Amino acid sequence: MFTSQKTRWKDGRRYVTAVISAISVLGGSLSAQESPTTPKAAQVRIIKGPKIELAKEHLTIINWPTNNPGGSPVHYGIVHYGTDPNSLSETAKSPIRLNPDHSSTVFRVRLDDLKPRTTYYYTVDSMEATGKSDGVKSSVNHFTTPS
Amino acid sequence: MSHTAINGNKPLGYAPFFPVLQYNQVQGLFFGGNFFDSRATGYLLRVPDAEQAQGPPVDTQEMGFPDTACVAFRLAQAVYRPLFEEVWGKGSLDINFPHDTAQICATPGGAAVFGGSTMPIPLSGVDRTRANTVYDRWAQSIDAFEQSVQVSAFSSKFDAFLAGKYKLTQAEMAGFRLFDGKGNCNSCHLDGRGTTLKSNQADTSSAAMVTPLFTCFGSANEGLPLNPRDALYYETKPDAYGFTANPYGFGYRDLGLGTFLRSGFGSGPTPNASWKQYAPTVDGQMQVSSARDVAMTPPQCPTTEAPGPYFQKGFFHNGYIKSLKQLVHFYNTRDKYAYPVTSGHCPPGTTEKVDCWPLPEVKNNIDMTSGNLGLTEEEENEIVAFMQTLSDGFTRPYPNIDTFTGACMRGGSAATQGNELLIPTPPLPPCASAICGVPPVPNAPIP
Repeated sequence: MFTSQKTRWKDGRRYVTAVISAISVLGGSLSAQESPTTPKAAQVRIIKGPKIELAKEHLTIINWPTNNPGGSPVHYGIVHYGTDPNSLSETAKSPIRLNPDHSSTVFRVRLDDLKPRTTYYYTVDSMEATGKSDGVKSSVNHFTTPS
Repeated sequence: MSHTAINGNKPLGYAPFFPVLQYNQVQGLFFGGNFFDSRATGYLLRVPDAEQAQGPPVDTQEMGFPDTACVAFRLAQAVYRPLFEEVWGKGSLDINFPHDTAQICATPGGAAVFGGSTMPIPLSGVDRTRANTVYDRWAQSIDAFEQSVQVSAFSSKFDAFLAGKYKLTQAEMAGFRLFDGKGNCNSCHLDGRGTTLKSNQADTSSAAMVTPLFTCFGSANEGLPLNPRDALYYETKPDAYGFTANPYGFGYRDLGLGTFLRSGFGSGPTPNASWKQYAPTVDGQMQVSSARDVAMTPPQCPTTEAPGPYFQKGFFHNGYIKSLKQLVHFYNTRDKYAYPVTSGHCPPGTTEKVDCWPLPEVKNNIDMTSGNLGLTEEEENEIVAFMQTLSDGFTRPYPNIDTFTGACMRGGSAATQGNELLIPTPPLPPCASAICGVPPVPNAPIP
């Protein structure tokens, strides 16, 4: 890498320039290694459920698969919920990463510290990380927490 | 901690390829920078890896120089000073250091005697600028080395497979398919596969475009439990120099990128005030490391996995996970075996890290891509086998001149290795307001 000791400052500067150019070239090709923004699906539909994946005293997880919504690589699953089916005033949101190679995507949302032995009503939706909704149509579902 | 690398190692190979920290408006996310909390942004030197190198010398939890000018001071006396000046300019190390510089540089940063000053060496304006420039050039030199094939070698079995020069074993190929499929690892640990490419097709694109780095350069909160063995929690009293590392004790929580965007405790000053608003959306998030070399060990010990002979590593930002088997099992079952306990308090009848995972240190913004993947025991092992193909040194020896002088460890099983060192987490005080009370505060509040 470093040749003769008689190398002058001019050569040193050329070396530095060469290193900086190499970094720029590498930077360009490596932008291909960032998560892409993929084309959005025409419509995002729930394939199955939603279902209660987990119902522990301290943690509930609601889970539903959709077709891959596309768009931003980070998506949020959203659950609107409440104890009154006409007033789903609470919201829980959890991020997931889309996989562009997968035709379907599983959304999973954590609900922490729900009240025990209580029936909750909920709908689900999802959105891009920028806040743009996926426009999922979800009916009102319900579940009861364990004691 | 994201602030220190005490128990978790952040691989430095392939760190040079992370871009400057930026916020992508279209995608609504941050990516780039170096360190788990992205605080080496690369804003000034235009490459985060160089700014990462600038951290440890003046980090009170690392080498602890009290002044960045100490780097120039030591370089001015180094045997390779002429080489530095050849590259960066004759006279670049001609700095008039005061007579007591050696004594100052031998006193750790943060010592009470400095009274909070981070520039205790009195230098003229011109000399301070020269010393700062040396600090930048030295960092760029280290970055150039870390980008070279001596550190970022791309010489793994997987690289040979991409070049058509190695055939993956059955277990490795099965692991590769799971990595992309049911494991869904490559949603973040990008493996550079074209979306139209099937797993049995050879990649014929040019190497520069598809040499995968196994990271998306972003950040995620994987819900790791608080690790009560991290020394930082106990450094609550002044040391012999009158320095207190962490007055908050167990009131410290590692909010990762969230702390950095608030220029918070243990992190660094954010270079862009307009990013502060995003802090609640990234609380708990740590940088996605490259999966390359995750299984790398010193040549004397062939594996990271018990019964070995093995070399003990710590994984994730706080070193809580002690083997690749535990790592995959965590992604696979974190939610399935979730218990409302801290580390060291798994209920009788359960085994921590096997069928009991303690609470996340930070439960905001937990990445739900994994946590209940439904992988079988065998599938977990196959993913481990695949990760082991990502270690450099296969197509040519890894030029690692370091020698491990300790003894490789033996015995036990990868599923429970390190469990004999679990300690009960003490009752946790609330998160210190210096961390969790800085606006914009975390949403939801962190207890």
